[in-house]
Amino acid sequence: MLIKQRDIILDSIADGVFTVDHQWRITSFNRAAEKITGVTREAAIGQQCRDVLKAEICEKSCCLQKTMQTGEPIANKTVYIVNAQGQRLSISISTALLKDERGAVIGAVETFRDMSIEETLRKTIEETYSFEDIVSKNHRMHQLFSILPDVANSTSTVLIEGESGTGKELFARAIHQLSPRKDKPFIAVNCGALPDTLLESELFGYKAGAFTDAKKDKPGRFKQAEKGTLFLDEIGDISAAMQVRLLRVLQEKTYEPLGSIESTKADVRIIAATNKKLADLIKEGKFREDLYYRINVMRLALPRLRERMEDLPLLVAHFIQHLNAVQNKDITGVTDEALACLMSHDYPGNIRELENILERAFILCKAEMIEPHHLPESLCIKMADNDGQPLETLSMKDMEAIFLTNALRRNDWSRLKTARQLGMHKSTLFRKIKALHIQIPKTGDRS
Amino acid sequence: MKIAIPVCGNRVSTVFDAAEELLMIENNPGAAPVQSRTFWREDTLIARAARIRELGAQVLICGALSEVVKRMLEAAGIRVIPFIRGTADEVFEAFCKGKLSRERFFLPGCAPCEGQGEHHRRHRGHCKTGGKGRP
Repeated sequence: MLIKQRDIILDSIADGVFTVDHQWRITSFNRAAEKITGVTREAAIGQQCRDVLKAEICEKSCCLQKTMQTGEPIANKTVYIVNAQGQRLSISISTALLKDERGAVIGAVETFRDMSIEETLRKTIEETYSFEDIVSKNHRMHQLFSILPDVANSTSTVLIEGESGTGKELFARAIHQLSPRKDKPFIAVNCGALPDTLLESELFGYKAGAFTDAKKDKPGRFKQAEKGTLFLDEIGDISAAMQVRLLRVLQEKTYEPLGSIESTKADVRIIAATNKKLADLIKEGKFREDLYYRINVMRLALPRLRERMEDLPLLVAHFIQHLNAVQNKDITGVTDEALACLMSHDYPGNIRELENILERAFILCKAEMIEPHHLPESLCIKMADNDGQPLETLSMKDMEAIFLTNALRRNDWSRLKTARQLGMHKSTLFRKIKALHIQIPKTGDRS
Repeated sequence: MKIAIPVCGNRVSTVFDAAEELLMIENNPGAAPVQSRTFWREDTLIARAARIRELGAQVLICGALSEVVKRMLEAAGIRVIPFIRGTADEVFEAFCKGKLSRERFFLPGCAPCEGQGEHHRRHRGHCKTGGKGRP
């Protein structure tokens, strides 16, 4: 009876709790522990605690072991685990000895709290994103991931190309975090947002008296990023004069602050980004070829969101988790109908547009799930246009047909490209097209 | 075929990120498996993944592994079998015999990946589990 009451109490708390015996075998495991680790109580009981918790410290510096050896409890140690779904979670653990009524040690107890929300908020505030924050199962993105360590370890300039909202700055931050410069500053400058004169003083700084109102020295972004990384966004928008100055810094690793007669050495790693095709700008005479070759040592081309639509459900889940943390809400997901609406859109604004759509939905949604009416009308209209039927009356089969038709249209009706984009085998797509009676136009790429 | 197993002592490391050493087993048809161990100095996940790629591993058998790293390795053409437990010896032997999909080799609550058993069997015959070279 007492054990039953104890279990009810343990199951009612939000922290994960488990107990172990002297052989580190789990003897009790509460409901929150099941939720956080993704392991059921039945699977956990009797198992070695390290095999269930899967924390980074389990093998080298186990907290339970320390407590058992010293008798001292450990409080609020932050570690991370990998749960059964393959997610890395930050948790805070505390340990204590378990004793019987005679005071003999019979094992130990560990309590742990999911710190994912705090971790999300910390990353948002500190902007310390790593490559693990780039959500994708797209093959092209993973090819980019696989070269990131080499890119990060080199000192060469990197050029990141991609449409607006594809995550260029996130990639730049991930490269910085992986590089030997990770403990030094990461400074981002949007070159397109500043007029030429301001950009010059912003990048290189100025000396007192360099111009009216320059009362004292002001360090530029190059100085601020010393020994770190300088991210120059919208590099394609800088003027011809600025291109010359930047070329000189890249070639000679020195620059002169405005009003200075002395050169300053720069130990800064440059990551440049653009949403324009610099090669085209060179042809138009708007971008210097020599600067292009200086910054294009390593080039990463980020795919558009519509080229990696298989990532959309992952991205939606990621943004919902993020927005829940930031806005203190508890929205669990999107309905199938809303997801179908989201999948039918082309996203000219890429991931930023998706984030904005979901932020808007968070304002309107008062329930647990985001529904089509929480999304911008234009998304749902486009979807309903396919057969003129209201969304509520569509079956899952209809939804699938609409989704596949939109995906095919986006890929100029190429079945091979569509299958690749959706991450399915071409014969699966062929079978679905036939089963759902999707009509492929005679024109276009019929491969 | 080169098989990489992150280990702690003689056991498959429970968490990929926490492994101290990487056991590499070169296993070619008709020859005894050749094993080597290297200390894993790389501290970031992505650098560890890159090291496995550099060493030419075609298969990674490991403990708990985050999905993002698994996908990255798979994108590089490496077959990944995560959430495995046991000693390196028994795990390698089970892999060679196509028996790694048995429940006892998986960490609690971590079901075998889809089609894994079938895939293992395809590799049977490439292994020579006896002899001096066996880990």
